[in-house]
Amino acid sequence: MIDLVFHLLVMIMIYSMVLAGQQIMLFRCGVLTLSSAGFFALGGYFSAWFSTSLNIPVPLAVGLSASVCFAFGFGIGAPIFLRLKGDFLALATLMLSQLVVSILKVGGMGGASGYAGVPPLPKLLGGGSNTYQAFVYVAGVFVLGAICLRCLWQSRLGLLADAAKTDPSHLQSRGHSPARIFIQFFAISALLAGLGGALQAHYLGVIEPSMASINSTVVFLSGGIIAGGKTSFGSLLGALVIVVGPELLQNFRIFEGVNSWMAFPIAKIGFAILVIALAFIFFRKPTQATST
Amino acid sequence: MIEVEHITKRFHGNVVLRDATHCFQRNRTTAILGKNGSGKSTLLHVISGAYKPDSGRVLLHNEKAHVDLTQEGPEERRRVGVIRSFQEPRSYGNMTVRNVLTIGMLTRSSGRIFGNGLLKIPEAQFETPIQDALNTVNLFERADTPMKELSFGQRKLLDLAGLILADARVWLLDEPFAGVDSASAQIILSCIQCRKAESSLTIILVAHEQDLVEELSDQTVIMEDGRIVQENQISNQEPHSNSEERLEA
Repeated sequence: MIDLVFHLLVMIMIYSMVLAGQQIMLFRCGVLTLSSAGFFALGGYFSAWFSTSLNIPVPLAVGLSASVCFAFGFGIGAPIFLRLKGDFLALATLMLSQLVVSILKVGGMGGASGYAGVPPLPKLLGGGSNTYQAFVYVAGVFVLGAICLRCLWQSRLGLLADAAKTDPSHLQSRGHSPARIFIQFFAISALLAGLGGALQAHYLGVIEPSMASINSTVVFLSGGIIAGGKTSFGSLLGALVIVVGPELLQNFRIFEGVNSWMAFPIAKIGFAILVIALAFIFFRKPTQATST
Repeated sequence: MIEVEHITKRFHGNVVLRDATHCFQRNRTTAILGKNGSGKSTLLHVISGAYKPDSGRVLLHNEKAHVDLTQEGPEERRRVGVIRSFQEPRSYGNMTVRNVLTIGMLTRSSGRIFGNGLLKIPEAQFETPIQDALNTVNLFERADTPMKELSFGQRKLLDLAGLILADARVWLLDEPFAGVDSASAQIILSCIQCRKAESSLTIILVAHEQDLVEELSDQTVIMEDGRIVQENQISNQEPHSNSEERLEA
């Protein structure tokens, strides 16, 4: 039981990092991007490749893969943000994830079926189960990331992001390019997604192209929306819902007597209904008064 | 000196600027006058880089730079010291007056990607200039007020404070006196005059208030149907007190 709790906590913290990236773009910059899943997969694959093929120690591989995602985010984000906006920008970032899936299926480790030999996260503090060890490691990275994000929001860039979201044309008149500000945050968002992907790859020991699938994109987007922009703990809440929600639904008594292969799809349907219900309860527009 | 050369701008086939050409002198204040729809604000938008012209160019010449402003991004325009205000003052919503002015201070600094963006905002270093600017525009009690709670006139004054802090060499002012009461108009007028006296400043403004324009400007250009049709030198600038009397009246 305690292992299950640690497992859930590890997954919540990993997803929370990815959702923090999604939250940055969605609520702090006011830009819809759908590439978190692509960078999540890239982070996992790069870290697996660094640690297996190049024999780089796992902690270093995790950091390196996150840096590579940052660089990719920067390089890919520049043309996207300088040339596109609105729906077309969202579409371009969505296609980016789809491109990653296709490339990984053809040229990624293990091809379309993925790779199951990713080395585990290193043991840090003496004894304890592997899950506990992973928890300590991921918690350390999570706390460090949270501190960095807090500093980011108190920085000049954080203030400029707030201004770019609210009134980009005014900020532009003051000599700051909103597109350039968004590129920087897109790169940070890619770093966070890559970090989450790398940690998950080493924690679960498995990578597969579906990490960048439309399904993952939808999950991250839902989590990002649940996370909201009002609190920095929102990403934890979003991760809690997308990690624990399906697990809880899957273990409901309703599934007794149902074939196990059906339990997961039914749980996902239940989760989708739950998210829609929550949206209607908490984010419903006020009803407009009608004149008689 | 800002040279506007053969600028043409169309919106959905409708020609708003037709071969507009003029040379705005350095360290002088030029007012662009004309009827509504004559293309004044569009010309200011083109000079500020908000609109790309369909043809023509806007050249800025000073001791440090010779650039075509139509080809440059916001960072380059900031580097050569070109800044603008809007006819309708913008609102940053929940952002406080102090934070809005901090953006004005950041306009002075480097624009490189990740250059110094990750550094903490030096609040102590920014405090004195921000307080000075707030005192100048009479908003010193509103430093921690969210911008959305300011009135139209107060937002205009705040915009002006932002211009002062940005420490630019060229100000492009789009109807700075529109929609403000006489007291605020007087503050805006005195601020611009003080700034002109303190530093070498090139100002291009669009305005309808004839008296204030004459008080403030060295030259006027008149636009008609997207063209600059006339320019006048204003030689006899009246003393400051006269403008105060007119505003009172």
